[in-house]
Amino acid sequence: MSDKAIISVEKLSFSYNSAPVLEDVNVLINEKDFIWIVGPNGGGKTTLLKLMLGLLSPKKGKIHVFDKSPADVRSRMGYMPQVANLDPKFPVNALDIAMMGRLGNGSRFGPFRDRDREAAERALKETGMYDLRFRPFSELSGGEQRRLLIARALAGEPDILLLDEPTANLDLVVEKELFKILKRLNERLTVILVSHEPAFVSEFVKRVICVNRKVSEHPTCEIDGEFMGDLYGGELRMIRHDRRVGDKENHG
Amino acid sequence: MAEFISATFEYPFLQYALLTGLLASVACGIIGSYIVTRRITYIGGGIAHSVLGGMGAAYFLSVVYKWSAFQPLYGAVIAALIAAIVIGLVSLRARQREDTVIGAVWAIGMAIGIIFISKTPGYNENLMSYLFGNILMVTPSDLWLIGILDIIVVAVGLLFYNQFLAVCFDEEFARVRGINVEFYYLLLLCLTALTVVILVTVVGIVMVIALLTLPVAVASYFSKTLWRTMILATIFSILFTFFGLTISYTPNLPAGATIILLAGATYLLVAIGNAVIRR
Repeated sequence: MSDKAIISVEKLSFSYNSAPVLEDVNVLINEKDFIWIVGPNGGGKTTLLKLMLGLLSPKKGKIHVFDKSPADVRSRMGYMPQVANLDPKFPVNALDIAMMGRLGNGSRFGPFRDRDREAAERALKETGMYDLRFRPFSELSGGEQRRLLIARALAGEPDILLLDEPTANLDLVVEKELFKILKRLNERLTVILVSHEPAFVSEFVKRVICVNRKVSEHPTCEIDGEFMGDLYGGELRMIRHDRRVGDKENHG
Repeated sequence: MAEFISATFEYPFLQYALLTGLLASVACGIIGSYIVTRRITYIGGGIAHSVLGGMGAAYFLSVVYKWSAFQPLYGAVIAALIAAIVIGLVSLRARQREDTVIGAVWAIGMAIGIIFISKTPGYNENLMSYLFGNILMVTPSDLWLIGILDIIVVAVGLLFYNQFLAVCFDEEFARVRGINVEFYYLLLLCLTALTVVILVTVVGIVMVIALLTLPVAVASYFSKTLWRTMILATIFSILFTFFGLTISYTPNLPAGATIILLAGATYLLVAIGNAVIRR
């Protein structure tokens, strides 16, 4: 913990109505961390992510990103929303979507500049989507859509990458590919991702933060069935990732 | 067809009609594409009907109080903008009440218009031309206003293309990129309001929603990107208004209704053709 925290959350509470969604949350996130925010549906994970992005403001407590209010440093954050929130029929191709990541970096109106296009193309190459850049959004597979949305987040040249449920409804092979990309990006970026799936990609993830109204943190090695049972309440079917994908008996 | 073309050279009112159709098509192609892809065409319907309130009030004032400079189209612009801002603010602040407010603005606007028109002395043939349009009665001063509105709509619609695209596709991401989502959403609704006023002169209040959506619906079968949809929708809209006028001329059919039927029939054929090809 010698690194300086780039995101600090102190005694934060949040509620949409009267029922608290988050209570007395304290989190410090360091540069180049790879954070997995996990918890049940409605537990407040996405809310915590939105607070970090400055899309919501805390009711109590403080949240700082790079020692500033999150909304002031949004240009340094790359965000990937849930794919399910997007209209799959929207008439737009991959390059146009990646270019959206350039908004806020350059001119306020009129067409994009050459350097915006170059940054978007660089981001598409980084996620292996460059060859599909003229493909309509509606014709991309689930995995390709995620890679495209990561490219869009990268196009703004962020320092932190925040992802909301990037692996929802993906099969394991595609999920693995996605994590390879994230691991590579983690060499230069801080990665924070939210998932309701208790996936155990401990080889990539550096810290696991559990959110269920309250927040607790665990080293990745300590996560076991008993802990997951506490977090999600009740029995849970676990998938062990300590065997390679493809082995027949990987359900523990 | 030949008769229509030779008549066009002869009669200015046909030239005005064609020019109005051309101007309306450009606005309709651009703004229609935004609101169809954002799935808010019913907001266009609400704004269109509320326009009767403004037109009726302007008509009443010009006849009863001799405000002759206050033409119905000016009233339409004011009513459309008010309706757009009311609907926009409510849909941003309280999403669950959006449909109720659209319905209310829709009907209240019409009610105000009907009362004003009924209290205006004289023979009220204007009511019919507001409701069903009369592109053949466009005056040069109407044409000036339509031209100015068209320039505003097209310039703003294209200048902020990137912002509108981002806001329509993914509001939340746009907000993270520092875009003032509320501002652009309201701006888009105001542009929709101005487009509605332009289209009212072509096909009338009742049929605006069809002209706003059908060219885009046809274009979307041939296009996978928004800017291409805009260009194609503009071309289709020009074809619909031109051939609608042509077809209606000799048998003396109502122009607005003919344009809409032509657009509707084309859409139906394209949709069926597409379904057959895909099988």
